Amino acid sequence: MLTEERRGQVRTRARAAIEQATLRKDAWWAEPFVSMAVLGIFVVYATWAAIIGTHYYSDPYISPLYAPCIADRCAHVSFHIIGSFWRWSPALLIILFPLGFRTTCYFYRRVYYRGMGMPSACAVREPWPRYLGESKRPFIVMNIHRYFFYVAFILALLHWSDFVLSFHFKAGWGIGFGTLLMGLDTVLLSLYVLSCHAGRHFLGGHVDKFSQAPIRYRLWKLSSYFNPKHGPIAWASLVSVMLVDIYVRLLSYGVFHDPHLILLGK
Amino acid sequence: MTLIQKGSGLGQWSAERKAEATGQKVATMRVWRGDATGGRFEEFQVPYEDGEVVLDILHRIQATQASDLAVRWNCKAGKCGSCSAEVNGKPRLTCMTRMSIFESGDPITVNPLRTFPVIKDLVTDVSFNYEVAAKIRPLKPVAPAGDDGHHRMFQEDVNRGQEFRKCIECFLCQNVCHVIRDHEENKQHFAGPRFFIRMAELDMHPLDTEPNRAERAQDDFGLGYCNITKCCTDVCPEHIHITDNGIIPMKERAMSAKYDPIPWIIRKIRRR
Ligand code: SF4
Ligand code: SF4
Ligand code: FES
Ligand code: FES
Repeated sequence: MLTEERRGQVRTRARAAIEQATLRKDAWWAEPFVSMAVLGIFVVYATWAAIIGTHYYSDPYISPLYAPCIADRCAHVSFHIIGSFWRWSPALLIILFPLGFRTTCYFYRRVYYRGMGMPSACAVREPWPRYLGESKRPFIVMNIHRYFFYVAFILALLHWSDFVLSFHFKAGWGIGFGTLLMGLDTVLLSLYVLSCHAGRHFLGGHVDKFSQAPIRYRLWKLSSYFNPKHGPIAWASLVSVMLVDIYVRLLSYGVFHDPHLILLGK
Repeated sequence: MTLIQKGSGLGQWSAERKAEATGQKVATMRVWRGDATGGRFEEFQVPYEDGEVVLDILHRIQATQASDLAVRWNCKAGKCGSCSAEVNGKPRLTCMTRMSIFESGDPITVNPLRTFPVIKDLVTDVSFNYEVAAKIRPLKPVAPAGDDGHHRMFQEDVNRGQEFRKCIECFLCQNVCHVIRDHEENKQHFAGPRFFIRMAELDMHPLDTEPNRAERAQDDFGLGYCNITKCCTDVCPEHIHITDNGIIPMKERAMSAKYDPIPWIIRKIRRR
């Protein structure tokens, strides 16, 4: 029976005194460990590849880390925007945008917050004494994601033009193995952008009455179709960017030649 | 882990003999028992059959070995949301957790929700959630458009809200959310995932006229504390996409309302 004394105890509002940080028995640490490892490999590789500034082009392929190439000194210029005074790697001129897009992406946020133990896994106690999340600095800054989305949307379109150029060999139009890789990368990047949460809001999610906004409703449905797969697509496109860069680099170093599957001539 | 070995009682003895005779399976259950002043895990050997759920086993413990074990439940059909607890450390509805998902022989721990004050054994005081609910402004509908006094809505306008209406208020999402699970002090200014989808439902409602719901979610209900690590979605027994369809759209809406110049410019032009 709930006596006055017992009622007083309930009112202490004490939680069940359980010491363990978690009672989970499964390998809850595996997911954050593996994801942070993959992310780490990518960050180290991409930093190196972007800084060295050479071997990023092998006719007709350009590494996605360097596209669009906007400096006059580029091995393959997409747009003449920055004069020849720019002596450093041309990747540094644009990398901020894809980098910022991925860093502020809702999915990668989940990945690295978990990697930082906020929390590592569900129902596993955080090691941090205080937690403010994205309500204050520094993480409130993540809300700028949509601006990166606006730019990423344009970059994704430009990617298609690089893909079209990857059919154009010195000897004429054709399809090489690199063309297929570039195609895969372009499709994955486009899906990554299309399934973005900020994009989903921009395309139609902001509407309350879909019945009065049929076009935005369609666009929202399209984005919503891919949105549940945003995580896997984010991983796949991360890997494909790295793969294409490695492939172009190896061609450029002359390690092997690009197998031409079809060559139609001029 | 403080553990008290049970099993000397007559009920326990006869349960084990019966299980042996019929070739029944026996589960080792470690159930947290106690109240606000303290507690510990107690171990019970309980026979069970295929197809049974954790709640069945708790009831069997109550019936045969510990008649004062406190367990809250109502429907035993995964629809009332009262039997929430943590099984092997994971927040779950005990009535929907089949015994067959556990390795037979391994001990199974059952403890009360760790985010809320404990009343007794597996029963917690979830009134925090009702206090938050009371702070959310209710639907403020527009005047009916037709002469008959009825409101009319299109299905595509209410689909999003209907997903959130599936909520059974089990508060598993509230319990797992690290913002309050690991930081009691955040309960002062954080509403929690269940209430973010409530706010999203109202904000997306085609008839609602209450202004600034998204800003209020951000300013008064601590939407910014959520770091979209998605544990709420992972535990929801109704499979509501709490983060993707509720919280993130609300973050985006708050962002539009507070900081993004592009929607602001579009609104200005429209008003002209
Ligand atoms: S996604 Fe946000 S609301 Fe959901 S559990 Fe994580 S921090 Fe809490
Ligand atoms: S949203 Fe899901 S987990 Fe949260 S209270 Fe509702 S049904 Fe339970
Ligand atoms: S790119 Fe991941 S949410 Fe926008
Ligand atoms: S008893 Fe109703 S949900 Fe479990």
